[in-house]
Amino acid sequence: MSAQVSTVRVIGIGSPFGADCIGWQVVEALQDRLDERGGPNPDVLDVQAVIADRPGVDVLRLMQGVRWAILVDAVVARDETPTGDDGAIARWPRWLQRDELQALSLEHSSHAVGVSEALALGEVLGQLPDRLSILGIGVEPDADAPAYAGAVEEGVAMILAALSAPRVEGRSEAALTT
Amino acid sequence: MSERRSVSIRVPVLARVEGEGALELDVEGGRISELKLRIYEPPRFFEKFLEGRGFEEVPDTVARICGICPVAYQMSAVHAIEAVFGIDAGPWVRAMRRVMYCGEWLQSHSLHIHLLAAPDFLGFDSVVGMAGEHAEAVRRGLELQGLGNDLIRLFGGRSVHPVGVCVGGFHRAPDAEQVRDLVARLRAALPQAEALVEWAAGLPLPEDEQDFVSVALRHREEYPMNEGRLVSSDGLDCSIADYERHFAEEQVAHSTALHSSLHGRPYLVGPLARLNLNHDRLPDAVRSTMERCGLRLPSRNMFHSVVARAVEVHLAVYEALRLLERYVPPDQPFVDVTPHPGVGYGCTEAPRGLLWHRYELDAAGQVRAARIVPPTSQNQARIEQDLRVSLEAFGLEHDDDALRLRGETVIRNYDPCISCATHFLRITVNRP
Repeated sequence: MSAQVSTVRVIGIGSPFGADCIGWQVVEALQDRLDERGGPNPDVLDVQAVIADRPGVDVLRLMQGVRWAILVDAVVARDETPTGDDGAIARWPRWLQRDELQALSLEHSSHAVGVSEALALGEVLGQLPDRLSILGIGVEPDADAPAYAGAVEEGVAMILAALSAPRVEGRSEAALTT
Repeated sequence: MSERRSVSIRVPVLARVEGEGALELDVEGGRISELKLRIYEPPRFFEKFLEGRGFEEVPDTVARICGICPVAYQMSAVHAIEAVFGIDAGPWVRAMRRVMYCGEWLQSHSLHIHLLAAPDFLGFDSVVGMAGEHAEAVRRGLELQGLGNDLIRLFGGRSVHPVGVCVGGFHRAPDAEQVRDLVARLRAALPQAEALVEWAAGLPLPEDEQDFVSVALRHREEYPMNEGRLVSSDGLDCSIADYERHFAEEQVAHSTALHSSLHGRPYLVGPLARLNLNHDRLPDAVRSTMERCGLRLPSRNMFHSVVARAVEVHLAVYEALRLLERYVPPDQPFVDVTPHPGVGYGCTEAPRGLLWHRYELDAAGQVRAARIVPPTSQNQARIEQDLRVSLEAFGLEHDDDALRLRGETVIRNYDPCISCATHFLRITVNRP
């Protein structure tokens, strides 16, 4: 392997329950694509796909030692409407900025520490990777509902596109590198 | 003379605790007229879920009760079922169960000390604010917590709801190479754990001496985790099978958790109770660090719980290292099991205190009845008792924000695992 190989760690965050497992499904499907060599050039980019079960602050350790981490997580959000009212439940994968994640994270989130808080802590401690991208996948708030059809494929396609054309999803890192 | 005002404090969702609870406090004429720790999380019916299931399913089912202390549930369950079957799982399994339990104490205590409790004592809203001024301590806490998670993962495959435990032992034994890596990390963590004890002992903790009864397991040789007799600071000494003769649980209208009592009185379980009753069972290295930091036992200051947790973090690192240093993979990581009908008891020391299980199994090993008594329901009456004493000692003339914060601090100090959720507080104050 050449010394120029750069490591990217794609971390699917979730649990086995309902749509909360969408982050895992996307990362598992991404791994399948990488195994088929459908991903970026492995001589340039070493892509590591991992899944994490409600990691809390452990997400900081999962990002240790890499320069670029991509987090994939289910989010509950509503699309904006022109009038500013709450729209329909969002059904998209989208690159999120850190502050958006904060707004989306459930106020009453369980176990005291969610991804947003963990990242805030990581920032204060100087433990975030140089580059951090967050792919949110809009799902139903009902814990038992599966993610919408096509969510996995769309999520994988967006990650592969980002890996092939780095910095396209730059909105999220702009918020981080200030 | 302070103002004899009426105060009504409603904390509908308690923050930085594991579970959904609320605090209701009314003050009339300078005295607390009403105080309730309301646990409104829905009942979870796990004991009923277990009925009719085979004994093999029990460890993985009970692990689902808690995301923070699944190992404790698994350990109480397998010991109870092995007691029914008359099995001794042998020295290798016994040692490795203790190591896995060390992992759970390590991760749960580290999380509580740094993320939930210390911000109270250092005057921050959350660990994020605290990390700005205490970065080194927070980093150390996260490292210790991560090490605990990795110890659980070593045996359980994953740290949340681990799956490696079975009646008779473990489904598989860890590789020697994985163990070597962890031994190196444990060795490096030992001075960190000592530093944590010093740091915790130096926290500006409130002085609040109270009269309470401590209850914990006591083992003839070691600091208790998986085995022992039930003892209390007021003289109880009984077998875990006799639990129901001394302890009672009752329903109260304001809570979905049962209230427990020992001979009709509230009691304390958890790190401070364990340490009060078992400090003579600490290894010398752990005890000397604790003594150097000035913690004198038994302690009547409930806020010493955070120091007790730090001492147990030190113990967990020390014990896991001691037991893994001489690790040898076994021929088979479990003993064979033959079902047998009967009743068995298991009682282990979860991070938050005693976790007592009773199972009645039929000839095929299916569960006919199960009873599970978790630590937080045992502490609930004690927390309410503490709140009354603490808030009156603190001074009811303080403003509502100060009273609310002290009340929350008292509750969080028990690290209540109401069962898995929760965040912040709102407050309603009614003044006449």
